[in-house]
This record gives sequence, C-alpha cells and structure tokens, in this order.
Amino acid sequence: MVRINERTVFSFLICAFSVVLLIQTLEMRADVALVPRVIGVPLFILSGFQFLCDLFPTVARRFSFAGMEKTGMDNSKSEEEFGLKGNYLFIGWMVLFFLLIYFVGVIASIVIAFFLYLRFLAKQSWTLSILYPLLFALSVYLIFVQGMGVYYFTSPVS
Amino acid sequence: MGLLSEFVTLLSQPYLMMLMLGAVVLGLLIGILPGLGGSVALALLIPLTFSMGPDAAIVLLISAYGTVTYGGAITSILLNTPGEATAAATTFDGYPLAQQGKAGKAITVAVLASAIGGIFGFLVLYFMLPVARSLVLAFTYPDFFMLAIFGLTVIAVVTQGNAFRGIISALLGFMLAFIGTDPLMGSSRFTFGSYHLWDGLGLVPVIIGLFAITEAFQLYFQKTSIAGDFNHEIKTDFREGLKDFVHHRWLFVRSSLTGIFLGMIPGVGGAVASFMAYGSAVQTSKTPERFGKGAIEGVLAPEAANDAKEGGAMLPTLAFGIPGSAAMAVLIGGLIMHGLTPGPEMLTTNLNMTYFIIAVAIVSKVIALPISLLVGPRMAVVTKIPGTLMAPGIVAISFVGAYAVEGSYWDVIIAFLFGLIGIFMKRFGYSRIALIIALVLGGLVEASYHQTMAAFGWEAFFTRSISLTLLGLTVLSLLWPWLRKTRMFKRVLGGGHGAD
Repeated sequence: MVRINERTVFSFLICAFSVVLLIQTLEMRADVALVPRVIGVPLFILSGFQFLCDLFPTVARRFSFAGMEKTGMDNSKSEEEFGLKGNYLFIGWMVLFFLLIYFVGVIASIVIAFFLYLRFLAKQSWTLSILYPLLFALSVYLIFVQGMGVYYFTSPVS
Repeated sequence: MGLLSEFVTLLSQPYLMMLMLGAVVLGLLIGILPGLGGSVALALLIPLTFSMGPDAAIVLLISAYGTVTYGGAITSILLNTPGEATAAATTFDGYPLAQQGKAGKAITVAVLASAIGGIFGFLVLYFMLPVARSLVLAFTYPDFFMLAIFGLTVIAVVTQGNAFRGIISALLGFMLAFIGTDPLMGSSRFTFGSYHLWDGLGLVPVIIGLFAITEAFQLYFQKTSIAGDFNHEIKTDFREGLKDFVHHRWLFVRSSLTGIFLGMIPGVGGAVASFMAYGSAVQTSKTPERFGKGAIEGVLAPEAANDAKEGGAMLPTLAFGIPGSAAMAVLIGGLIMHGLTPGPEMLTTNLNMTYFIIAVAIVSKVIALPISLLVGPRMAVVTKIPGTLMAPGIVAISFVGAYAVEGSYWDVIIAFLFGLIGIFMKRFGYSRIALIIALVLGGLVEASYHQTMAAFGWEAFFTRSISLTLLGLTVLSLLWPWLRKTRMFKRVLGGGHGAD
C-alpha cells in the first residue's frame, strides 16, 4: 500500500533538494565540491529512506526509528478541529501579505492584510478589524520609520 | 577587574539602563504570552537592534532573553500554563500552591530563584573564563571541526522529536550553509543563478521564519484564550518568600549547579535542566509525598536550574561559537549582525565584550526581580488574548523585521519560505534547532576542514588527542538512541526476572 500525504511530500522535497544540490556539485572543482558531497550523500540516503518509510507504511513499521510517532509539538488536534483548509487559508493569507508588501509597501500592507485576516479569517467585529490594523500600522510606523529612520518601507516597485 | 569596569560602563550610561528597563518589561511580556519563548523573543527583537551600536543591541537582547523565564514561571503558577517547555516543571507545585491561596509566595520564590540562579550562573561563567580561554587556545582546526560535528550530533540526537529526522535536519542545515560563495575559490555555489544568494542565506530571516512564523501558525489555531477566570490582583509576599528561599538554600545551590552543568552540554535545554532539578528535589526531600501538592521546593528547584543554565549555555556559545540551543543560535545571529563573531576571539581580543555581556545579564536579572514581583502577576492578563489575534501580529513583526534589517524584499521571501519549512518540520518531528545550528556551524566546519587539510593533512583528525576524544564522543552520541534502548531493554528484562 502506498500512502501519499503532506508528510510524504515533505520528505520527498528534502530528498529532491539533496539530489539537486548533489547534481550541482558535478560542475564544481573537486576540492570545492568535497565537503558538500560528504554532507549531501548521507542527506540523500537518509532523506530517501525517510521518504520510503513515509510512502510505504509497511516499511515504516519495520524501521520504527523513521516511523511516525506523534511528536510533542504536533498540532494535529488543531488540524482535526479546523481541517486542512484552515492550514492553507493561513498560509494563503501570509502569501497575500508578502505580495502586498511588494506592491503597496509595508505600512499599507499591514492595514490591508490585518483587516482581511481579522474580518474574514478570524471573524472578528468590524470595530476590532479596523482599529487593530490601524493601531498596529501606526506602531510600526512610529518605531521603524520615525524612531529608527527606516526609509524603505514604501513599495519596492515604486 | 574587567567585569567591574564593564559594570561601571553599563551603570553610568542612562540610555543603556533605560533600554534595559524596556527590554526587561518586553521580555516579561513575551514570557507570559503562551508559545513564545526565548528564541522567538530574540528572533523578533534582532531587527529592532539593526540601527543600534553593539552595546545597545547586547543590552536589548540579553535583558529581554534573560527575563522571558520569569514570565513563564508566573503563568505556570497562576494559570497552570507554562509559556514554554522550560517552565513546565514549575506547574507541578506552583499551580497547587496558587489553588491554596499561596500564589504570592510561589511567585516570589520562583522569581527569587530565577534571578539569583541566573546571577549565580553568570558568575560561574565569569570564573570559568580563564579555564575556557586556555582550553580554547589549545584547540586548532581539526579540533574545531570535531567540536562542531560533536555539538551538532548531540543536538540532533537529544533534541525533542525523532533522532533520525534530527540527523536529517542537521545535514539539511549544513547543505543550506554551503549556499553562497565557496571558501576556496570564491566562486558562487548553489545560488541557482540568483545574486541574492551570493552571500548565502541571511541568518536573521531564516531564524525569524523558522521560529517566529512557525509559532504564529500554531497560535492561529488557538481560537480561545488560555486564561480562564483568575485573580490577577495577586500580592507577592516578599518576606515570606525570602524566608522560604533562605531555608532551602542548599537545594537552590544544587539546582543551580545542575542547571549550569546541563547548560554547557549542547542540546540539553532548560526543560531537561528544570525537570532534572525537580526530580533531584523530590529524591532528596525528607517528605517527597508533598511534591505535586504544593511543595515550595518544587517551584524553587526548576526555576533556579532553568535560569542558572543560561550562564552554562553561554560558555560554548561565546568561547567556541558552538550554540547549545536555538536561543543561543539566534543570539549568535544577533552578535554577528553587530560585527561580533562568537568563538576564540570573544576570549582574547573581544574579552571586554564578553565581560560586558556578563555584566548586562547580571544587572538585568537584578532589575527584573522587582519588576516581575510588582507587575508580573498583573501582566498575566495578556493571556486573555486569544492566539488567533496574536498570530497576525507576530507574522507582521516577522515580515517587517526581516525587511527592515537590510531593506531587501528577498529577506521577506526567505522568512516566509523558512516559516513554511518550519511549520512542516515541527509537525513531522524534524528538528528546527538542529537545522539552525547546522546553518550557523556550516561555515566553521567547512573552513576548519580545509584548513586542517592544508596545515596538517587528514591524519590530524585521528592523531590529535582532543580531536580523537571528540570523535569518540560523536560516535557515542550517534549510537546513544540505540544504546539507551538496549539498556532499557536489559533493565526491563531484569525487572521481569525479579518479578517472576
């Protein structure tokens, strides 16, 4: 039986990343590539093994050290409560936030992103959704722009 | 004399003292907020220091970091909710004491133990500096290489989570450290054609992503506040608390020494120190049955160990540039940003800066004592804020902080990417601490490897006594998870026979 989930994808990405870096070392001088290869090869082997364990539960049962014991920091309870959608809504909101920083600058992006988060993700009242972003943006402006003299909080594209 | 003159330098500058006062309040607040520990505090504060000089930056970072534990103790006692794992042992007896109406006494003892334990830890660090100095000077390239490998192995194996995935995390951290310019030819390596990566990955945005954004993600799911109805009008009873503290002074000394010793071992964090001190307090007590029901020793021992370990943890960080914990790795990032490279130089050319760090840590502990006793319990009211409202604030500070350091939008992308990586690492049991420490140590490992090969040849790794000892310890720590199981297995078998 094959199991494909977020865990499998994550371990695959680590393994794939190690392969990409190892391939890049082929174009380097031998002495320059030596240490990255010494580290990269075990990374490829161990992450590849982890990927196999995540992909095939029967393998994971046989090699318990790479298995899926629950970690103390696991937030799976939260996931059950809010579903996978909740995870990606928050990640999506962060993507929107950093895109806004690029297009409208730091201060304006805080106001817009906070308002969207509070009103539509956290389902807070209109009053809180307006006051919190404004106060937060004002604090950032006073501390960074006025206090520390940061001049580049406008949009990088402007 | 060096330390005394740094005390004078610090105390004679009103700006630094005001900054310390603000940092102490900030540290207390961060400590009280659930889920935000010392490493997150440092990650969020580093960007605020970029326009400061090294002295002011050290004051802000060390003072805030040193006070975080005080806040954790207060919420452990009042709410049965430790701000982070290091304060968990305090809940065992702290909360029962609060239920018996003795919260004021428990907080006083916890804060006194934290403050005096912390000061004790830094004084021990000061007295150990000459020893560390001669030790550091005996180290050469192969020894540094082996020490870095040993430190990282211990961290990967003993940190919370899965040891196998801890090793993967450490190797991944090393590979990420090799991104940038190679130390031999100066040509770009693993940059994927992007000039943004020529200088490697910025430590500050990576730290912000891995620690702050990951915690924000966790808080997003916390839709309700952790605090129920609690009485935050607690009056601390200093005289009573001091009496208890003096009465259990030997337990305090023992717990502090446990903390200092464990702090020096890479990867063994405050949680282990406080739990071991708690366990030792139970074992040596004449009335162990009182523990868990409101024994004041159960508050004193973990708090003393937790703060005393900071002095111990600072020794490998400053002397060898080997961070023993996530917070120390973040601190290294902050120091590097201000032109200070932890390592042998901190005990030779920059020795005064090391004394200054110790002076700041001690003075901030003293200042934090009355502040924590007076306003700490009242500040616990912030735990009424639901995590879902704190999450956007932390993300915003993270992005703003990452962007503010160099004004590079690229750093925001790095912080975001590592935030995502951190979220999945945390969820699937990979060690973020091992990754960040490997990222810090990668340069040292590669450079010391090439220097060894050029100066001594490969046999130096196996012929020098220091290298050989460290190699043996590395192998032992790699085998430790399996050895432990074998030993446990034997013990279980032995117990079984006995029972039969």
